[in-house]
Amino acid sequence: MSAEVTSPTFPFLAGPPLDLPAEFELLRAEEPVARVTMPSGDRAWLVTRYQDVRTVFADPRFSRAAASVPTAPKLSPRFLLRADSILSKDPPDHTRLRKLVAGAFTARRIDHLRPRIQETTDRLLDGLEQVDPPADLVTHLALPLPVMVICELLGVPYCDRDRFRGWTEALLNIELPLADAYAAREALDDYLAELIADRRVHPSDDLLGVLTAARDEGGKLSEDELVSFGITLLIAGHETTANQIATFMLFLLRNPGQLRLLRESLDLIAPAVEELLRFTPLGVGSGLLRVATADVEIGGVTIRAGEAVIASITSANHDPAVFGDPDELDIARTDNPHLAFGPGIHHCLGAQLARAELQIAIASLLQRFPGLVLAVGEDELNWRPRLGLRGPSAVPVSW
Amino acid sequence: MNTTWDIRVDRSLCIGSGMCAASSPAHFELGEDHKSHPRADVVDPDDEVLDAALNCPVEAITVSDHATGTVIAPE
Ligand code: HEM
Repeated sequence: MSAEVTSPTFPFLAGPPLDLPAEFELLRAEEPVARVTMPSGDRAWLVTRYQDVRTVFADPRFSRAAASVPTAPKLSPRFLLRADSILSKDPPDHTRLRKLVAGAFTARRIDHLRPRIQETTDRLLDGLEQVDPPADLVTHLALPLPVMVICELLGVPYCDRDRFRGWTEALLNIELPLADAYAAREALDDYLAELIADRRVHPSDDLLGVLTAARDEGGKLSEDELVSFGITLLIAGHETTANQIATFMLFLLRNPGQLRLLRESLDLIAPAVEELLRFTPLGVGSGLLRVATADVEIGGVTIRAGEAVIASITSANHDPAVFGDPDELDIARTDNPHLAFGPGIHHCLGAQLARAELQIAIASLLQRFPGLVLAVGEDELNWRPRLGLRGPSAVPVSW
Repeated sequence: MNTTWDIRVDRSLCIGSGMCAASSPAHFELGEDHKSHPRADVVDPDDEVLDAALNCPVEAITVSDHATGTVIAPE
């Protein structure tokens, strides 16, 4: 076995952000459950084959709660997700929290939101049209669309966007001092507490109103869980989709044949978005770290209780055992059981919402700007300095 | 007579998120095609089954009263 795969550091950030790290293919073939060292200095098992990745997400012995105690192995010391967040819970706490909002995110409910998402997209594209190219796709579409949508759903005032965007950035930016990340987390807590206090005076039927009522009238969640839920929904609800809209466009622009095909047959938008979801790494290319609560054997390796496991969604999505020509972008791909939203109990709550936003954003953009091209070289793009939730900070385009 | 419930998974809706199989493995499993199916079509009442129906992202799971056919979840 070659030296570089025996003790790699994870995440694999050496290559250009749009290129698939070569390590995944090597590991899938030679060491599908591999020891890695994380930026925190802690070690973890990195799981890279599709079936094994599914198993990790589905097996309750790989616990998010056990990964959220202070002594647990961490990806990075700046990983500041609260232990009260839905993302840090196991059943039955997880089920209790998820039930409170699941109804708002079903396929049926999101279908009702589509006209509103379309209207918001059209308005943003009207704005883009007014600009003399080159213009930045992130500022004009990729970021404001998901921010507006999640603000409306949650009941967070859109006019506060610069404040909560600033804190989100400070929380994730690995070039800022750690103290800034802690301060940003405090500020987000205080901000959500303020909004919740307001709900207590002025009840509302947005998600923050619904969650506040679930606490005050039904005692369904603690005050800390309420605040953390709001923050998780606010950040997960816009950061991911914003990065994906921008990165999807970069991948399409990189594949002119596929871009032309999609432009000419926009009814391919649903499979195209699934394919782009499969293709586009989200952050470090994995789900959140889990900790084993018992000794579990996976891919011939015994993971001991207390050890950390990282299941690579990106690697699973490129596993040739499941996907034909996995490294080709094929927007008409039919059998596409990708894992972009993470299978199992933490399956992305906003998956249907994200799909609607991505489909509407990409289709509308291609329709309105048929001559869209990247206005700079791909290697001139600036990427947000982050470990997770990476995305370009700007995508200059002209038309 | 004891109440029993019917569990139905609409496979044309199921996207194989695996939520039900992970949160309620006693009642659901994912098949080779990565779609969910109930381990038993008729079961004794169990809140886990209701939670699975409520949390299904595409509302593919229906739980109904075996005797009357009344839908219990999702409401
Ligand atoms: C393209 C966009 C998105 C992608 C790729 C994505 C991906 C993911 C993934 C992979 C997970 C599971 C993480 C893990 O188990 O380790 C997750 C969970 C979650 N996502 Fe998303 N997400 C997206 C958009 C959204 C949106 C728009 C929302 C809006 C509400 C959202 C809310 C959540 C929440 C609340 C969870 C935690 C669910 C739980 O713990 O039960 N996401 N997402």
